[in-house]
Amino acid sequence: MAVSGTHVRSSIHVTARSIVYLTNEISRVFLEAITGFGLDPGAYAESMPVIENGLRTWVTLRQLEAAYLEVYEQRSGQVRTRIDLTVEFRQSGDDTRYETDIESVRRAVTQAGSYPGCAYRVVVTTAQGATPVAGWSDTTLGSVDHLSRHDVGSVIDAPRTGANMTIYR
Amino acid sequence: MQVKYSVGHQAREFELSASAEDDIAAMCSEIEGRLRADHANLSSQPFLTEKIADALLNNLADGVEVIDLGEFSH
Repeated sequence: MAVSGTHVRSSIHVTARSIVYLTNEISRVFLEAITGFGLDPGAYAESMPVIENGLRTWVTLRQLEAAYLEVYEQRSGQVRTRIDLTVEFRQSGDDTRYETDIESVRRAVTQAGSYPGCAYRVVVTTAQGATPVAGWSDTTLGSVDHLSRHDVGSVIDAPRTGANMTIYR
Repeated sequence: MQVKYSVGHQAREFELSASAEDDIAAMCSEIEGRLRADHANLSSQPFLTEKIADALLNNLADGVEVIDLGEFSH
């Protein structure tokens, strides 16, 4: 029984570290993309406490489905490019593996081009009935029907969670 | 796993049920249910879940065996 208890405690700590890693790395990927697109990261930095608080809460409760960085024309609102990070939750995995494929992110962002003068925002989709988090409100993603979809694959990998990236450009 | 917190600077503690101890979401839900049941005036806090989840995550990521949620003001 003692061994079982130790395993459970160890497992819950690994899960917590995985969640912290994932939420930090989502911000890292988005900031990498923002600068890569030629945009000012100041707005993201200002909102980072709200963004990370939302991500941490919804990942902890397993309510986060995906996080999006939407880049759009300020005047028309038309989406110019979008990064989707689809979140995965796992029961098991390599307890020592915490990796972010930042080179694949950079390559995909470079291929998407630059969008000077555009605005951006972070949007998430959550499970139905997700808990409310301060600073977040309901919205609708802009259409990406005029853009082409490119799957980048797994870019964030932690023992109990991870994220797959898709870019629309 | 033991959970400590304070309300109005009065220290409280309780033991989480064994069934919740391997699931952070279940832990969060049990703690929130307990706080709402024991402290009716906390129920009006709109972002109670968010505060519990944040404290829980910070504690567990640090590897502690006793969860300290900190102060919940009325």
